[in-house]
Amino acid sequence: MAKVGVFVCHCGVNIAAKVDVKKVVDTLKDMPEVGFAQEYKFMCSSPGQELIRKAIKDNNINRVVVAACSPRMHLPTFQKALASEGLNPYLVSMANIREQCSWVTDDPAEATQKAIDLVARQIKRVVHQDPLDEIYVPMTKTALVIGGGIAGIQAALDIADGNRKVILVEKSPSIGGRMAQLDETFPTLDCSQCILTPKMVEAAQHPNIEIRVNSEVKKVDGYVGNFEVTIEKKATYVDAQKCIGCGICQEKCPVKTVPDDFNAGLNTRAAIAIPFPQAVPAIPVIEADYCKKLIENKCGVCAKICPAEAVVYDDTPKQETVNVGAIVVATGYREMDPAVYTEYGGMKYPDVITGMQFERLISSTGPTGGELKRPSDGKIPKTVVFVQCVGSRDESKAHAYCSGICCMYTAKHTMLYKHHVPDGQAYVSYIDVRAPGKTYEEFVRRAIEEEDVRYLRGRVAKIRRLQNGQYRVYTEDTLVGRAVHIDADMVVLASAVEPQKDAVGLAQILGIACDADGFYTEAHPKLKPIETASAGVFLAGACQGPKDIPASVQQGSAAASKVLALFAKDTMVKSPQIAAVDPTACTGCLTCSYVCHYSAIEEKEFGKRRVAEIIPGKCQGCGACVATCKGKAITLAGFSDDEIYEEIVSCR
Amino acid sequence: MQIEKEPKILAILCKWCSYAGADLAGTSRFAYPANVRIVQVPCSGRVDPIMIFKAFVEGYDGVMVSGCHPGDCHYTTGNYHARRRIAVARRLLEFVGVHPDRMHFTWISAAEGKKFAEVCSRFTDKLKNLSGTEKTLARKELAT
Amino acid sequence: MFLFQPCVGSNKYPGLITASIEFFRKLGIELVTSDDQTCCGGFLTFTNVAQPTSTMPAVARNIAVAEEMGLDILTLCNGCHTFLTEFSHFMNDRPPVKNVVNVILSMIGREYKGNQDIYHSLEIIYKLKERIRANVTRPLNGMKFATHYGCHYLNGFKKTALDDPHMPTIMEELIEAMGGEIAEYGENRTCCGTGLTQIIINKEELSLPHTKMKLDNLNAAEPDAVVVVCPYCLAQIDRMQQKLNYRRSGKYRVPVIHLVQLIGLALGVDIVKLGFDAHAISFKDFLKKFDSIHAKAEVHNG
Repeated sequence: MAKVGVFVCHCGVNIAAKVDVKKVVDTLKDMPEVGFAQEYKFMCSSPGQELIRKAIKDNNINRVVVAACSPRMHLPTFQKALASEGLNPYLVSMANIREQCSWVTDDPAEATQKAIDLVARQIKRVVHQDPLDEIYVPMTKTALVIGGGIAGIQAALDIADGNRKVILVEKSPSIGGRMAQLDETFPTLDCSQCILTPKMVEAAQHPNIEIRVNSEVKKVDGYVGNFEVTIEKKATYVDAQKCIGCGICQEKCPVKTVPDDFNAGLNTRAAIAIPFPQAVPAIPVIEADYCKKLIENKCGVCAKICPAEAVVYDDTPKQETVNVGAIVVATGYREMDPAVYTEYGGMKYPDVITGMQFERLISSTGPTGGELKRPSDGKIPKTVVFVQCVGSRDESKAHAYCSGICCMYTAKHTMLYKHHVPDGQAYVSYIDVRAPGKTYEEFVRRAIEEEDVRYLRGRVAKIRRLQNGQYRVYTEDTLVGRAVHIDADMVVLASAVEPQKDAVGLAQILGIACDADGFYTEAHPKLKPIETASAGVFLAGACQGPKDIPASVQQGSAAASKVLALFAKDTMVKSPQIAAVDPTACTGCLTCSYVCHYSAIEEKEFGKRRVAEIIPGKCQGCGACVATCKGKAITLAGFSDDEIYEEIVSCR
Repeated sequence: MQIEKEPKILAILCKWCSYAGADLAGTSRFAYPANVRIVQVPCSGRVDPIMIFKAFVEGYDGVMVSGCHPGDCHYTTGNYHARRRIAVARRLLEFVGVHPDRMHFTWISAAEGKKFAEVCSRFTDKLKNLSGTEKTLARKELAT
Repeated sequence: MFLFQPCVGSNKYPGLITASIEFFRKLGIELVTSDDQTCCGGFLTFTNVAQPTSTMPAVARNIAVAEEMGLDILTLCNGCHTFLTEFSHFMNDRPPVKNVVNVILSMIGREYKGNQDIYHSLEIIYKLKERIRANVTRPLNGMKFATHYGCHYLNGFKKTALDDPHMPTIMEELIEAMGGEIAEYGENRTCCGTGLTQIIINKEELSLPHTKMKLDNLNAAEPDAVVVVCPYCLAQIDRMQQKLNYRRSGKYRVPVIHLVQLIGLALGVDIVKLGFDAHAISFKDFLKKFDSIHAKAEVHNG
């Protein structure tokens, strides 16, 4: 026999100003279901909760209705109060007489009548609420990190140091990401490879980290604590266990026309190659579209000369499903191709290059061995113009956002240029100079004061190729109000930071959202920059938005801390408000399984029949199957037909 | 049958978006007519057309169902199922003789407090202007 | 279609008009001209000699002439095209202005409706590229052409722009379709210099050095001819070479040919109708080379 305790809150004056709380209590205390009714100023406070506990203890009430604010505010508070007194926490219901009554109704009489109505309905509803027990699902304490750039490496290292296992999946043949392509980093001018490779090696040697390169995530099933991830390793045609990394295959390969992505397209390489000398792992991959053996069954030199017999021409993509408890997405960014800027030559001029291409030219592992030479004729450029904001801050042709790193790396480029060509002259065309980080402003000042870099505030209107092989850059100096043209030997375009090409596809696989620019959306832009709306999936690095190396490292560590907090528990608590099938009523049509987004419904044998069965661990409690079942054989705990209809029916 | 008093409206709102939107209307103090009664469901996909019919039988003058915007459903696909079911429900309502304007299906997100208040006000006005010459399903009226 | 005759064309290079009529006929399109037509008024407006309030009715009147025949308009000049298009869009978007203009036109018994389309010949020709390719009787084999689109084509108001304003390619495609080769030069998108001439105000000092710079750059690429799509550009590049030669500023002899003349040449239109005699820089060497190609071809084929 249900005995309901009713507590009507004043919420200070928030409710009491419009709702006659006393009248509500007086009207409802005589309802047959009600065993106890009381009003109080602040139900969520400690004394308020004490009232509930006292009523449970002294008045034998076994159901509770709290008429107060929205259940989205304080339902957990009152559930805890019930639990502390030994009453099942799912036997409380809240009537929303603040956000959905006193705050939106002008007339006090109407507000009071509405409040009475709302509370009465909850009283009738709560009688139908059954006690429910929490569900505990085991937590798989392995993390998946997608992306082997600096953010992903940092996240993997921190999780691994926290004594948890990590699977680090990387699409390309080596970890390292963008940072591996850089020559020196701002603001310290540290050699990028020198500070990165120790971390790469640490990740490779860490007992808790399993690196899978040449691999992509194809499918993600499950939910936080219990993800089932399908990883596909592409065909590489080289046995990683046997390869000794000698590199002779790359030397002897007759095909040399594969575009070299590591060098930002500045040169080509062999069909079998290690991406760069410091690659981790340093195991070559055959590019199937270019390999003579794979296309027309000719050549085969690499297999013949490999001392370890590691070349395997009949390799195929392989899929494997792994169980992980949390996922960190660290897939990074790519540099925009500025071909859309036809006023700058549409990337058809060989000496008008992007920031990353400049980085490769001055890099000792780059196509020119670190000598800064013009791609067209190999001469050393004596005048270089660096153009900021190409594709950024430009709604008309590309992106409205600021890419965040270009002002700093342009200053860096001018300094490195002067180190390579001491008698050269560098110009920078800028709109603003954004140098917010620690010692960043001082860094830019160094470029201007020590390296005599001329900063011209103005956008470049046009770049025209002159007959003598130079490029006339038409720009302006708005600070003196003059149009300027500079005849440059080389022009470097600081091209925008963009999300990876397949960012949207991966988002759909993971069940996370992208914003309008294609970067992944965080749960809250201010307070939850690492979590996503999908529990258990975290973001780190430039895939969430343009950022520099320190910020990527910070986010990598932040994501790791979220994962470690998650893994600190042995089991995941799951809401028990899930659906269940009554096999005696089920006809086995399985229509419910078609609407279930979580694949939580399976076939089961029930005597001689087949019926539907819902897997408690997978069900998220949406109720789509409940509404679909024609025979009404499925019940959703907490939102059953009885409960909902009781709310609808009690209409005054 | 003229509607003389304030029309009674049942609003079935999904927990993640529309109910939150209604809360936001409260937090922002956007007032709307007091005749709206809100029932929370975890997802608009939980809404069974029978619930809507039940509401009319119990004397509601109008029923409103609201879920997350397409693409934003917390359970990913629930609101699509809702949309299809409501479309069928609407045809059935017409067949039975209830004016189609008495049922309103909309998408309200957790950020659209103002929209919620406006939808309630407009729905109330629309119901007031209905001629009421169509058949009614209301149990009380049928009995007399 | 209604052929809107460019004033510089009618006065200085009549070959443009006859060439157009002839080769369009070969492609199956009949061009109609009218003596009722006047200057488009662009030049007067651009040089600030006349106000738009005076020239707009003139533009409307010219378009009305074509409208009365129910024909779309084809222009051979960047200036005509930009001017007619801009003003017609202006009038169409602003009914009060259109009404005032029509009040004026009604005094001479005409009305501007704004329902006909105005096309630049380059756009129509590009759409007929395959038809042109199929009808070439005298291909331009081995001859090198430099292209000059002109500012009002590249930067003018175009609702249905076919081409990229910074790296245009349609003229190159047409030339190659007719068998010619392209001579690339750096200053290919530089203004011809007409705009700086402002003949009436006579600022040759600005214009001439500019055109010289373009010509020097052009000559370094050693083209057989420069192809233009505007009679103003044609006049400037052609006649300024003559002027520079008189002033002993250099030896300039690159013949300047309008695209319609070039197409006429390739499609077998009678040489006389192409009007090369009106050009300042002689076509003698060009035609000699052209004929010799075909003589050789005939020897091979014969």
